[in-house]
Amino acid sequence: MKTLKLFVFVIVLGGLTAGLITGMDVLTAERIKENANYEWKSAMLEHHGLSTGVNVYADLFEETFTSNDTDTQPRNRVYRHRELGTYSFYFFGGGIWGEINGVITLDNDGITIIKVTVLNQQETPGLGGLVSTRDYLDNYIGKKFDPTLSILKPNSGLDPATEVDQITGATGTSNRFILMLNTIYQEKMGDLL
Amino acid sequence: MKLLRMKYTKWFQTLKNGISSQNPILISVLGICSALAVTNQVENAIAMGLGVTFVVIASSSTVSLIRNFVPSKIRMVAYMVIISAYVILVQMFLEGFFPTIAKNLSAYVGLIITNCIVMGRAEAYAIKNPVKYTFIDGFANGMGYTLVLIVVASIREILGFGTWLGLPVMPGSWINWVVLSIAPGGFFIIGLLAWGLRSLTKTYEE
Repeated sequence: MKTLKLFVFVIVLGGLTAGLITGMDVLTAERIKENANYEWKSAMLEHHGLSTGVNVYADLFEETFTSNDTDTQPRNRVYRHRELGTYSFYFFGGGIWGEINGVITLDNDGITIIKVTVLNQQETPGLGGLVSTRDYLDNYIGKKFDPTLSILKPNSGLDPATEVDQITGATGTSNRFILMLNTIYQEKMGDLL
Repeated sequence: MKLLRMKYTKWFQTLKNGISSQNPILISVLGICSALAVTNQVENAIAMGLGVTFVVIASSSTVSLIRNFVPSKIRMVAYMVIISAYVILVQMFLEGFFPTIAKNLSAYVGLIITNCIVMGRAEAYAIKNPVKYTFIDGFANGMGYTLVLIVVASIREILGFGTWLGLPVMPGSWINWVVLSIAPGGFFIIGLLAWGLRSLTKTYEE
């Protein structure tokens, strides 16, 4: 009798919990799928002065951007603004402690940076972690991949438009971040320009 | 007089115990892992606190509701199944409707399953008490956890980042106390608060 009671209890509990989870899955599955792209797509929209919520970003993104590259995953494509002709793409690479990823937007000449946003990073808080702050990233505005970006060095003889400040006390993160941008730029824009 | 009488009612005592005199973090020292991890920003602390509160209320109430049917041999396993189910619901809900918060809390939402407060209330209270008091107990413990999280996160965010809920509150010349934005900062603040509340409620270890 005890064993039967135990068996019935396990079946009922399993059925109820599975029912609850299935119900929530029905309610959220579609949204979770859409949200996977929200972070980087909303960042690209924000680079163009368009701020939007989770519910409406997808349509706005389709209206705003176009991409010829339909063979690759959406996140790996280079997007062009339909009116302005600007280029936006997702980047990722290794920092000191983990992956750094984000979104960069270039002017329609394909070399001048309009805006950079770091979405995720695991660098040291207060040091390398500053790589995701707007204060630091605003140093990149107007800089050019001509042909590459480099760390600002006095009397380097390079065009100042290709040199960016490093983060004080975080040379490693700064170097890796710039190397990542250069690599991904060549990969994404090398064939387009 | 009515107010005085209220102080001696069971529901008032249950509420008071959860929020102050048996506060899960500062007095019972439960749920410390997540309390240290998510309290560097107030927004995360609120979301985590509400998530834990929901799970404690829901799981304790469910355990209380079925307490007469739970075979004692497998009661711990039953708690785990119930708690896990509610945590998965919270995780799905956040991922579906609040993706940014879900990302910030990342693994810690899943870790609510192992939060000692949830299992502790099920075993210490819910299995022996009727649903209405269990609901209050779950709410009180969840709120006790949430309030501490918000206080700790407020101190850490203001001093560590110069902001509160993302809004700048410190003068431009403010130099961030970086140590408060990393885990050791959480230890300092929670230690100080535990000292304060234990002195206030005269709770001392034997």
